[in-house]
Amino acid sequence: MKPWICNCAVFIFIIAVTSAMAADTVIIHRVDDFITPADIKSGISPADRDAPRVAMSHKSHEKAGLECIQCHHKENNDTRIYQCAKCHKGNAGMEIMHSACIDCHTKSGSGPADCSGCHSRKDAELKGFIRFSLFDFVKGPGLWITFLVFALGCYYRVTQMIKFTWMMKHPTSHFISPDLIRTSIFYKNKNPLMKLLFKIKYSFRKSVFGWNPVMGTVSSIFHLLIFTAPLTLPAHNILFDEAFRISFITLPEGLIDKFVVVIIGIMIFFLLRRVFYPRVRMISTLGDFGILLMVAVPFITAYFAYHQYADYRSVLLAHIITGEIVIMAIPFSRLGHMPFFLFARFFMSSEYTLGVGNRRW
Amino acid sequence: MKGLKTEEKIKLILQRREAMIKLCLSACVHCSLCAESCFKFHNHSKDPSYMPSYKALHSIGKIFRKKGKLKDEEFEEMKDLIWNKCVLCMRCYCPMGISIPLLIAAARAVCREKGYYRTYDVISKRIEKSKKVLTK
Repeated sequence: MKPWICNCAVFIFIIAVTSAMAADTVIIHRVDDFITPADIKSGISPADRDAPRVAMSHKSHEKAGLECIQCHHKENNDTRIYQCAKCHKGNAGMEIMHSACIDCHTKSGSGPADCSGCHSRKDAELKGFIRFSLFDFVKGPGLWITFLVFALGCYYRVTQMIKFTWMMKHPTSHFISPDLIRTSIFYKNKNPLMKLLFKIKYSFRKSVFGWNPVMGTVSSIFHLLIFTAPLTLPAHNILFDEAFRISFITLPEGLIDKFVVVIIGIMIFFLLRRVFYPRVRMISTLGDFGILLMVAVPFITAYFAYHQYADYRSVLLAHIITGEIVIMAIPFSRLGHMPFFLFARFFMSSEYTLGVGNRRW
Repeated sequence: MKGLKTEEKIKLILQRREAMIKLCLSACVHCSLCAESCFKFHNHSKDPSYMPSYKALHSIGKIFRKKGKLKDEEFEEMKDLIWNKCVLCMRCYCPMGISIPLLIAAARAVCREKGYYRTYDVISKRIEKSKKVLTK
């Protein structure tokens, strides 16, 4: 069997399995889970009691008519995805959590009000074990594995590429078309800033932007957004913070939602281009469509998850897993142009690159 | 290389450049952006078969996938593609950083071993045609 068929089959299988296994049940973190040495110094004491974790179903609460804001407060928590125990730590946190749940349960007369009603080990382990452990896995070690595979793969690919190239003793000087010199007001000027502007204008004109402006602009926007959207999303930054203790600048979620729409739109443009533009169709293979689909799935699921179409948790799980697969596939597939990008644009010697380039194949 | 059979020679040529060809072929995203950097492409009213990536993929790409075991007709087609449609001017630019001339040179090396190369002393059909036009 051809390798891409295998890849696609595995990919679809994983999506199917995860969407079948995913559930809306979450295991609530213990109030002690986030306590740091600094917290203990500042006087937060761990909870006295040590009960099993609680398995809580969002769906059953939604069915009972509760709204998100009734449990997840909104101040300083616009996205309402912070875990309660992250702020409400220790003994005080236990009180807050208990009063929030038990008060509501007793007032409405539905839902358990005694300890074992919620803190049942069996419940937490059986109900959410397979489902939640998968979710936990993709969020924790899965992310580590993904980035490790990605980093090592990129390192391998780039070293492989460097091995095939060599430094040039005499870098080729760019040939500047006489027409361009004659017509450019920048070049005639003696001002060094204007000269620099000419150089920039010149290198743009002879690059992809010059000969294929539509494709150059569209693909630049696409590649810019495909990086900014996931890296600046608040929800992702919370995960980065939890996993690696790093975070980037965040943009509002509404804006990133628009980015995602643009990304999906451009992908449809790429697809149509591949189908209807003869020169692209001539060299297209099924693998090209597969890669396009593979990159599209995480963004489509992201859109679905943000707007809460379909079952939120299964969509989210599919989103995380497909996203991780795509990141891992980057160095080993056609997406490898990500680590090669700098070489191709700036270091390789060619009359069409943006940079000067002093390496040769 | 001397004293080896053609098949073995081709195998040796492919083996020597295997890693390089593999890397180049796997990095190609089939975007067709290399088209405009080829002057042959411009001079032949933007015929897609003059696109550098098309020339590389349909020559060395084919050879590499089938490990050099191609039919004679296929080599005949390839001959036109890599000897007439490409002059190895090294000016083509790939946004992914692939060295297309190197791929075509590898394809030429294989074809040469197979006995398909540019024949200068034989008047090609194209020249005959142009002669007819001139003498009219």
